Amino acid sequence: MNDFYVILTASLVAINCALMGSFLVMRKMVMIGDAISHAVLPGIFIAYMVSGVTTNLVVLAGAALSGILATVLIEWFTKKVRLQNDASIGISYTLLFALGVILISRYGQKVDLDQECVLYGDIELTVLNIREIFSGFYLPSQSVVLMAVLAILLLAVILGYKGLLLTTFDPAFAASAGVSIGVWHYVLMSGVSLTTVVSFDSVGAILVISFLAGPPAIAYLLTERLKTLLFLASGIGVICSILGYYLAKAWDASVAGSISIVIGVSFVLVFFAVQLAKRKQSVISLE
Amino acid sequence: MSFGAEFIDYLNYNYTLLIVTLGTGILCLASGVVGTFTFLRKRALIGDVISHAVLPGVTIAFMLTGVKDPLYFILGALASGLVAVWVVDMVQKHSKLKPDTILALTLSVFFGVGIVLLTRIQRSGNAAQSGLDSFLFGKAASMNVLDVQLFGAIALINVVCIFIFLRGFTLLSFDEQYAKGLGFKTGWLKTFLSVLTVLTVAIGVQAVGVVLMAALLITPAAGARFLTNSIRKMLLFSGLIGAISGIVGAVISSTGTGMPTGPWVVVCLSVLAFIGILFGKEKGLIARIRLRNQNKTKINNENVLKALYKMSDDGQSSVNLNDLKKHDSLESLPVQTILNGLRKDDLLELVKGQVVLTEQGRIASREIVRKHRLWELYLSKYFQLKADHLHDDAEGIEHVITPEIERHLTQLLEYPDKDPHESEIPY
Amino acid sequence: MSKEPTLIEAHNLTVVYGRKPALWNVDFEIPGKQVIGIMGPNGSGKSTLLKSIMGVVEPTSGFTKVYDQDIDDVRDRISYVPQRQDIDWDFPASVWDVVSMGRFAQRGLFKRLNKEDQDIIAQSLDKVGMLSFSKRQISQLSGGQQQRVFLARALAQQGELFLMDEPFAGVDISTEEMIIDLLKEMKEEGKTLVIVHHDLHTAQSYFDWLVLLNTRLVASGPVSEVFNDKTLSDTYGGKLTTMSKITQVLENKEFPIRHK
Repeated sequence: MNDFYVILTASLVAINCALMGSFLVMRKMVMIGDAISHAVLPGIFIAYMVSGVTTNLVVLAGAALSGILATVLIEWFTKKVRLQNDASIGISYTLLFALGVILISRYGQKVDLDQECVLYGDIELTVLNIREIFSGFYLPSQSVVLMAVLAILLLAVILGYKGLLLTTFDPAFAASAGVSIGVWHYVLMSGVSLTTVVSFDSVGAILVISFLAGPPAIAYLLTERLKTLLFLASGIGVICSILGYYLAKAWDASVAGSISIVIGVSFVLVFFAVQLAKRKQSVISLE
Repeated sequence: MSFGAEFIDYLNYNYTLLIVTLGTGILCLASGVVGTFTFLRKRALIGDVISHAVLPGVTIAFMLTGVKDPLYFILGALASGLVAVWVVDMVQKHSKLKPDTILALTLSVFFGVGIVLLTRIQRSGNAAQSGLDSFLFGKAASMNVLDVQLFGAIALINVVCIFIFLRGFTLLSFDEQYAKGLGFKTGWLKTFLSVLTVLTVAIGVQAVGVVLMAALLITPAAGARFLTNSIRKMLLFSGLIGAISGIVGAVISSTGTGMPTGPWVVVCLSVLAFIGILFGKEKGLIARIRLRNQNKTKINNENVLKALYKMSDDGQSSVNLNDLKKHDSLESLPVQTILNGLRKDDLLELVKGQVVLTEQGRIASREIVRKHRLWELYLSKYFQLKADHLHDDAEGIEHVITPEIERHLTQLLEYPDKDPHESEIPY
Repeated sequence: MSKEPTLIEAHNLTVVYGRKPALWNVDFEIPGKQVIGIMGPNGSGKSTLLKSIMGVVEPTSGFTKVYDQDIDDVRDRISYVPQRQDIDWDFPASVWDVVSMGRFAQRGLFKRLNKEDQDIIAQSLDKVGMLSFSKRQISQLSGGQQQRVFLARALAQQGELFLMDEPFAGVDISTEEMIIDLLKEMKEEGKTLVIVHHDLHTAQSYFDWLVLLNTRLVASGPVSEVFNDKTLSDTYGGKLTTMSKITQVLENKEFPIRHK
């Protein structure tokens, strides 16, 4: 059963990240996602301090605010301070992350947070916190939260599909049709923030990036339809999670890290396969 | 234990701390210097990737050799850092993926590899692994004096190399195409700079850890950028910001248990950079606000002078103070304060409720009226603008026209004497 | 021609990016039902003008009106063709997907497209000769085909006023001819077309009305009146260095762009 619990949790993280990550990849904003995932750390610390648990969705949503804060800070650096964009990102997230680490290293014992977990989470611990859903049916609290977030994200992506598509593909046209670019930007940023916050316990602040960037990148190489891309990325995420879990068991190493490796290897394989296919095609067309 | 031995112990401890602290300072200095080019080439995010990507190199070096030898760590870090840079370049060349995705993916997967190896080492219970943890968030105190000497030496070599190749690197950062055109071997220069950067990261992570290393490359340079426009000074300031932060971070970290160096160095860097951003002489936020206020004063002064000019027939007669205050163009302006300021500059005199322009004031007021009318003429001659919009436009621009632009305008318009409203342009 | 009532109006329009004015105190009134060209050198604010008419960029001061109304009240009567180069054509979408975006603009973001919408999309594609490509992935299109798709999307919006940003840039001859035929046809149907254009040689034959820009408005009027050596040298010639010097001072010395 424990295997199932861990795999379930990892897969939910993967699906949530794939949904948000696909839009980040399409918007060329993955590094902003990277910044957000680092910057939620102070928020998460405060959430721990306030509630002592990380399975309260309201508290987590509060923690996600520090991710939004990072995007605001980046914008402030670029627009008001007139600092180049890459440096604005670099400065903002390292500062917020450093503050988070300092808080945790000083007061972390009180809230049972460990510095290293910050980096790669500890998904195996998910089995320690099991909740009865209905008589005789148990699920890890962690995955219940992840499911709730998945429901929110699915709702947002289904209802907001056209808005996200339009503002991603052609912002100028979207604005010309009266669609607010800013609103959809913050819808997505909130989604990314919430995703990284609820994934934090399982995969930490840094490895979540491979979940956000990897499966969508692989899917992008394979498909030419946005809807397919969303499904495919989610599927790839789940498969990588399962493989990664067993790899971690075999190696006796971090689960999140192993999933990340599987994602990396899958990317390399798909990348070369696509290169090979392209080369073949060009040979055929030459003939 | 005798008092003497205790004292020697104490000295020894302090000596070690001193060396470690100074060593950390030198590492951070080197990062600040090398990072200046990372910043100028707008490669902050690549710096981020390299920083995360050295982790697998370090762990593999440990697994292969089984010892905590800093030399092996550096070699491992150098190798995996360079591989990451190569991967980013290669994928970018051969796929439709955009740079941000490639950077994020490379960064996180390399880091994932590092974490897997690290957790494996940890769980296998290898006693010597304790030192490896310090690569995550840095721990200055975990370095011994020999390590510090080695890292310090490499850091200094890096800095020396930067200065030897300063010209090439500057050109490369400023305009790569042009550098190529001049016959510089930009490919080699770029590779060399990459190697220096990766090497700097490889030793810098000893102090601040892989996660926050990116800040050590970028933040000092960003702060320094606001302090100066000269690249040499920027290298100097950037290095200084790095060094100070490194030293402070190491000291703070040595005072408490469980206190990693990295986050403190980063907080210190950010504070210093922020001071630069605020107080920078030209580009700083405060300097810009001050400039804006100066402009406001200038605009107010010139508006009052202009009104005076018009009300006093070219400054020939005196103007009633109350009439001046009621003048349309000066509505809602603090006329009295402005007048006091102008009087201090000897541009006018206040006698019994009458305002009289001095000779200097007359020249200044004539100048601003001239600029206003020249601009109106220029606009009406070259652009299609409704006649009633000319004035408003000139009201804004008259304050911006420098003597040089004024000369240029006068020549362009062939020394005109009438503006579009048939008013005389005074010289 | 100019007996037509004013359709597009700009009043004191100023747009500043960062601290650099892209458009500065631009005033004009343009009658409708004709082909209007916006021309000027690179960086002269042509696209910005189109974007501010369309409400894509917010003016720093001044305003524009279309049909004597605020843009938000008449969006459904306007079709917009942004610059093709600004788009990531590797985006995972088909030709049909892109053209259906024109219907989102009409139907709103949360309503399903119905049979009528599908028909309009198909007709629009047919008009630009791209119906047989409707399933094609957009990354496989040539420059000219991409432009046709963008035109089809604008057609699917079914506006009366078409704003097009450089539709002729980088397209093949047959596409250019097709676009010109389409423009003629649309003009006959009583539509108004505003086109940002680059090529001086074709200006006289394409346009009825010309707007010459160089950050400021150099001229706006019927082509016959406006297209002459003086206005062209004012637009493209070096006489405007003064203006760029002024902008530089404004940019570097933190001066307010409009007083008050």
